[in-house]
Amino acid sequence: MTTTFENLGEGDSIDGPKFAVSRESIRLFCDGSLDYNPLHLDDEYMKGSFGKTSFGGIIMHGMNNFGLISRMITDWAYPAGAIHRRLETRWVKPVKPGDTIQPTGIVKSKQVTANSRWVLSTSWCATRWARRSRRARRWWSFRADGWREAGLRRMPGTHPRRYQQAAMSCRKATNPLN
Amino acid sequence: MAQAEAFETDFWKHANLRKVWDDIVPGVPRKTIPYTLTRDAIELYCASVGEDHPIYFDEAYARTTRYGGLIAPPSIHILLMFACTPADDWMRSPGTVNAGQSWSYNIPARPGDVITLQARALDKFIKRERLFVVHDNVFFNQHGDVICSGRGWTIRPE
Repeated sequence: MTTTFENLGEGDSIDGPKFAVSRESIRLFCDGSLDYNPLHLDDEYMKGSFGKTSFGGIIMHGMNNFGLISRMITDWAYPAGAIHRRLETRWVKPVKPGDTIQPTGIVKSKQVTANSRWVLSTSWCATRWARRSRRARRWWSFRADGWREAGLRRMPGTHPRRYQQAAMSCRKATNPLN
Repeated sequence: MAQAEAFETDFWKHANLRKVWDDIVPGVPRKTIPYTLTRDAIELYCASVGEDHPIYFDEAYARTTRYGGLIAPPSIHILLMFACTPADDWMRSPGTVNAGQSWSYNIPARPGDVITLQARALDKFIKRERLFVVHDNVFFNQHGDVICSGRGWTIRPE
């Protein structure tokens, strides 16, 4: 099925590959991002509490989630001739070594502006459906050129009601484009 | 890992020089430094999030795309945030917890770009006894074009 702006619909899903979180993957993200905050490296420091927060152990960078969701959407958008334009994120729960997370996105709506066509989706990185590590919203724009084949499929095992829940959560947040 | 070796990875080292929540003044620009984005840096970042699209690695392929050459992933600003700020920047204070970020993308960064950052704290507030700072940031290339702009929320350790 060729992905076009016209045939995209609410509930269409996109998912990225699973990502195994380990001390090594966190350390690699330190090197890749230059973020060497002890939150991600120092077991002794993370036994304590600071700034009214406490995690009990090192945690993955929140922006590692961000990077995984961004990767998912660009891998989907490039062959569809679309451009990743915006990503808004909130961290819900910390991710720790030993977790396996997977980004998922669901198309929420489409909108046409003066010179662009936009698709809004709600995304999250999660270890499983009930435990979202982060919810995010993305906008990406479509251009008339460069359409190529891209697969879109429903997420196996998901229920349409979950799509609605995601969309409702999205509506509660501030949407600067509305 | 040449990039990481040239960077002060001990975030405790300059901790006493960094502003605490009380000292951060919304609206005051943060000190920033230009940064030349290299292919090595892009590839290391890509490895850390599993990015494997050829538009980031394969020059021959990249020339056939709308971009006409290699680009960096949009989320490269994650690296640029630390690459473009000095060691005493409060974003590096140990215990800084990232609560969320929002980014808009204009044009891609490319290898060889000399990236500059305009950044400041935009707001600060207390919520559930936690000390929050809102920061906003705009990255430019050497031509003065906006690459991306973003806003984030951090919980300060003190």
